[in-house]
Order: sequence, then structure tokens, then C-alpha cells
Amino acid sequence: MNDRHSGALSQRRLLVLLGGFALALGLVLAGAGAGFRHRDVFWGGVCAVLTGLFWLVCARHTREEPMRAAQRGYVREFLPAMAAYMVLLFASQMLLRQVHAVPLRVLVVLLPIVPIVFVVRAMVRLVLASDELERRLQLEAISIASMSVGLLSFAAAFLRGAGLLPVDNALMLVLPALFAAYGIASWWVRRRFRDE
Amino acid sequence: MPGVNNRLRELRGEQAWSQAELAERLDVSRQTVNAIETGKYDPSLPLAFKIARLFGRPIESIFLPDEDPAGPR
Repeated sequence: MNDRHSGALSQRRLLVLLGGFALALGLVLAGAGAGFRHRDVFWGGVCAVLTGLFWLVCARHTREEPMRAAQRGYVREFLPAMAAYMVLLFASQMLLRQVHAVPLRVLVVLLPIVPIVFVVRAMVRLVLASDELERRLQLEAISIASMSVGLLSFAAAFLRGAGLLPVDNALMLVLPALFAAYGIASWWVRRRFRDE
Repeated sequence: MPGVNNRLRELRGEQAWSQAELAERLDVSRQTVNAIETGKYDPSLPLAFKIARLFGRPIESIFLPDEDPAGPR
């Protein structure tokens, strides 16, 4: 039965590929941001480098085994949607300079949200295809992640209100922070179920 | 609190199945099979019945009450 899976994409290989890609992209962005003195691009690059390093560390602690059908389906839906998101994010920023009518500007600004809807759909499908233990772990991870990010957002709002947090567009950080917190919480709740 | 012991590893060994093979037959992840075998997770009744059906044995011959409260849980 195992032979059927030989050569199939494993979670470990995927983490190495994505980690390497995020690391390379992050270094380019951070370099470009520093070179052109563009703060957002620089910090975006730093975040990508940290994400890439995190995925590479996760890969080191992940067993080499084929992914289940539900996980492969998730990857097939998630990766193209994220690629589309990056393209549309760039395109909408470019288009925004040319478009002046308010209704059209709203459409252009919201364009990158469309692929994120597909990312969310892929996540929901993965959860629905999970077994009972996986669902329990996902519930624990999402509970920890949502409460942590909620608490941080609350604290950030107080700091911002007092003028002590010099971050523009802080709401933009909530969804990525939730994804990142979920990833860390998921690793933490799964540690007690590691192989003996 | 007393938990549940099980003979899943032993029965899987008799069939010469890997954890991954058993997981595929039960439609769960390999990690879930491993967690049940090592006593870290007690399956739900539907999954326990599915396991019993797969091995063609009564559920009580696979899942046994843990008599020793200081035992693995």
C-alpha cells in the first residue's frame, strides 16, 4: 500500500519548498525595501523571512510521510489562490494609480480579497475532511489563536488610541496574525501526540 | 480518572499492517492511529465500532478498562 504513495508530495517536502520560497522572496523584498527606503516593503520582506525560517524549522520536526487525500486537495486549492492573491495585490496597487472613480476604486482595492475567499474555502474543506482527533486539535489551536490575537488587537487599540503605536493600517495585520498564531498554536497542541 | 487500554497495536501486527495502512482503512490520519495505540487518545464510540468491525471482533475484546488508576493516561 505504501508503494502507491512513493514519490507523492509529503508535508515535509512541501514545508521545505514553501519555506525556501518565502525565505528567498523575503530576502529580495527586504533588500529592495532597504535599497529604495520603502518601509512597508522592507517589513513585508522581514515577515516573509521569519515565516520561511519558521516553516523550515517545522520541516525539520516533521516526519517524511505522504499527505492524505484531503491534505493534497487543500494544497491544490491553497497554493494557486495564494499565488493569485500576490498577483492581484500587486495589480490592484498599480491599477489604483490609474483609476479615479470611487466605485471602481472600491472594486480595485477589494480585488485581492477574491482569492482569499478561496483560501478560506480550502481551509473549511480541510477541517470538514479531518478525523475526530484532528478536529479536536484544530479547535484547540483556533481557540488559542483567536483569543491571543483578540487580546493583542485589544491591547494594540488602547496603545493606538493613546498615540503610542505608530502603525498605519493595523487592521490589515489581524488576518495574517491569526494565520500565524494558528500555525504556532497547532504545533503546540500537537506536540503531546508526537510519535514515540 | 481511569482510562481505556486497547489491543490495537497487537491486532495491527497480526495483520502485518503499517500504521498508515490501518489509518487508510479507517479513514483517519496515521497520527490518530498512533495516538490511539499509545493510549494518548481514546476514540469515539463510532470509531471504536469501526475498528471492531475492521478486525471482526467484539469491541470489548479490543478496548479494555484501565484497572490501574496510576496506569498510562
